[in-house]
Order: sequence, then structure tokens, then C-alpha cells
Amino acid sequence: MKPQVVLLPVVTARGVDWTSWRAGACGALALLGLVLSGYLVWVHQSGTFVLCAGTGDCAIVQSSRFANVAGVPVALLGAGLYAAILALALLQVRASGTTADVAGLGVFGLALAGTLYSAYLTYLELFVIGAVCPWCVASAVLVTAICGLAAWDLVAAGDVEDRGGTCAQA
Amino acid sequence: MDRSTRQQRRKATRERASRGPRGRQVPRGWIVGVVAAAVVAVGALIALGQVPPAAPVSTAAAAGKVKGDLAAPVTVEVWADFQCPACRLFAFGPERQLEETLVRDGIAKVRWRDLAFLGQESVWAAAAANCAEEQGQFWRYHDELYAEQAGENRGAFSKANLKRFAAELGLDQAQFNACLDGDRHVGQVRAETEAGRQQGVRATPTLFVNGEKLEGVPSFERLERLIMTHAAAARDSERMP
Repeated sequence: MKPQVVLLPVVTARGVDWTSWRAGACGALALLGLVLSGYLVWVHQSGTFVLCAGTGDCAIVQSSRFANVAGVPVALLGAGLYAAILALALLQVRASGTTADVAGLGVFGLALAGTLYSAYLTYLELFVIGAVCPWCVASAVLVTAICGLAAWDLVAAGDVEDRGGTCAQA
Repeated sequence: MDRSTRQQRRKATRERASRGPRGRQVPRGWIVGVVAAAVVAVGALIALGQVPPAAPVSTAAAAGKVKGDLAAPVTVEVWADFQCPACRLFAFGPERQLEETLVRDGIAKVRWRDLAFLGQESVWAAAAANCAEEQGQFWRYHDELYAEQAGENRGAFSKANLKRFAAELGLDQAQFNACLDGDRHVGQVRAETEAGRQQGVRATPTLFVNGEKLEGVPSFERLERLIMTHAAAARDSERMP
């Protein structure tokens, strides 16, 4: 009988595992987001001007009254969000069963909140502040990508019979 | 492949099909709960963000558009525009630090100068601040304007909003509104802006520390060094016979 690959294999340290692939990608994107928001937190705290692709828009956005929520810099909220997503994504990669499921759900929930809030911030930039900060746009793209991957993971979870993710042959 | 293996596979396939194409290990209720929590959390963040931040409270004594001891040896003249984000950075950053140190200690005083050059709302905001000054509230109004800053000429400093700020600060509304609607200080703002241009002020904030020009937002440390240098020079010149 001719072998038929049911799931396209993705090889990880733990074998073939689709969930790990997506969770790992979420973790990598969260790490990028953490670096980016960490830079913006540093800019905010030090009072230096942000490097902004040759425009002054980042300084306008960063110094606007929307750059803080209840006294907390939005960049710091972002850094916290990415740190939490990174931790949960790592847990998802390393754990199995219900723990991995809950971690995956946590990544999705946080990323969804980040995506919705980024959409609101982008609206403010375009229509209220009148300046667009490329760093903020990059963060919005990152968190939306994480949200997409995490949603894909949730949807696909039922198609993988074993969370261990073996490559089955029919 | 024997018959029993084939039957087991068919059973597994049926079970998979019964879960549907999206059969999940994560219960649907959990996902709905997480989505709802995310929406509620974002709603709460947006609501919190609507509350204007409290402007840092100034501790320095103020007289009109000057803050600090009028006899202080060093004058920091600040040319700024209420719509300018960098001016806001300066006002709530180095300027506030200055007030809490060198201004408080009687070494320096800060004098506000209008360079309302970013559009109509800059002129209205500057005129409104002058109306507040009629009631001795220039600096509180100044802080309120920077706290409410949101883009340039997008309605943040419409006359309706400027009146609302005055009401929130407890100013005499009738007097303030008459001043604002009557454009009582518009001519003065435009004249000062023109005077600033004549002095070579091209950007905001621009500072003059006892006449020495400093463009942009300086760090507090740089500003402090410059002030101390001028304070020492002023002291030395006083000692000269």
C-alpha cells in the first residue's frame, strides 16, 4: 500500500509537532515585540527622542496624552503583554495535554486583546493625533500575526489526534 | 492490513468526523470566555485612556506668566506653542524638574513667551491661556492645555474645549468666555509670535537662558549646568566694584 502522509511533518526537538511550530513562532514574534516595546519604554523613561525612520511622528505619538493609560506608559503595557505571551508560548512548546492547551488559549487571549487595542491605537494615530509611529505599526503587525497563529493553533488542535503530534501514515 | 485494524481506523475516522472539522481539545466555552475577557480588558483600557492625565502639580510661586522669584539672577525664557508635543515634553519634564529645584531655590525664574505658529488652534490656546492669566491662573491653564494636547488643529483646542478647560479649573466662566470670544488677547499673541520670529526663534521649544539660546528639549542636567554657569557669572558681576 502506498504510504500517505496525513499531516505535513514539521520536525522539532520533540519530533514532528505542528502545535510546537506555531507556538514557537508565536514565541519568536513575542520576543521581537518585547525588544521593540522595550526600546520604546527606554525612550519614554529616558526622555530621549525615538528613532523614527526620518520622521518626527514617533515623538508626537510618544509625547501625546494617549501614550499613558492611568499613568502607565503604553509601551510598558506592550512589553508586559509580549513577556506574558512569550512565557505562555514557551510553556505551550514544552508542556503537553491540558497545560499546553490552556497556555495556547492564553496566548490567543492576550494576542487578541493586543490586536484589538493596537487597532484602537492605530485609529488614534490616524484620526486623532494625526501622526503615525512606525514602531507602533510594527508592534500592531506583530501582535496581529501572533493572534492569527494562535487562532490557527486553536482551530487546528482538533485535527491533531495526539498533542504529541506524530506524523501518521494512512 | 488485517480486518480488525481496518475497523479500528474506520471507528477513529468516524469519531474525528463527529467532532467536526474543527473538533477541539479546548472546550468551546473556554474560547468564548477568553474572547469575552479580551474584549472587556480592551474596553477597560480604552475607558481608562479617556481620562485626561492629571497634570503634574507645579510647586513654584508664579506671577503672571513668570514662575519663580522675580529677583532670581537667571531668567529662562521659554518660547513655546501649546500644540507642540516637544514643548509638552519639556514642560512636564525638564521644566518641572527646574521648578522643583533651581526655581524653588530662587536661582532661576521661568518666563513664558508665545510662539503660536502651528495653526489657528495654537493662537486660540495661547489667547485662552492669557485669558486665564487675567484671573491669575496662567500656569494651571498652561498645564491643563498640555495635558489635553491631542494632535494639531484637530479640535482639541476648539473654543468650546478651551471654555470647558476653564470651567474644569474653576475659573470665572463669564469673564473667561467674554475674553476668549472677544479675541481679547489674539493681537497680543500674534505680536509676540512675530517678535519671537524677529529674535530668530524658528522652532519650539526655544529657550533663552539669560540670553543664551538653546533650541529643542534639553536634558535637565544640561539646563542646570547652563543656569549655574549664568548664576555664577551674575554673582561675579555683582561683586565687581
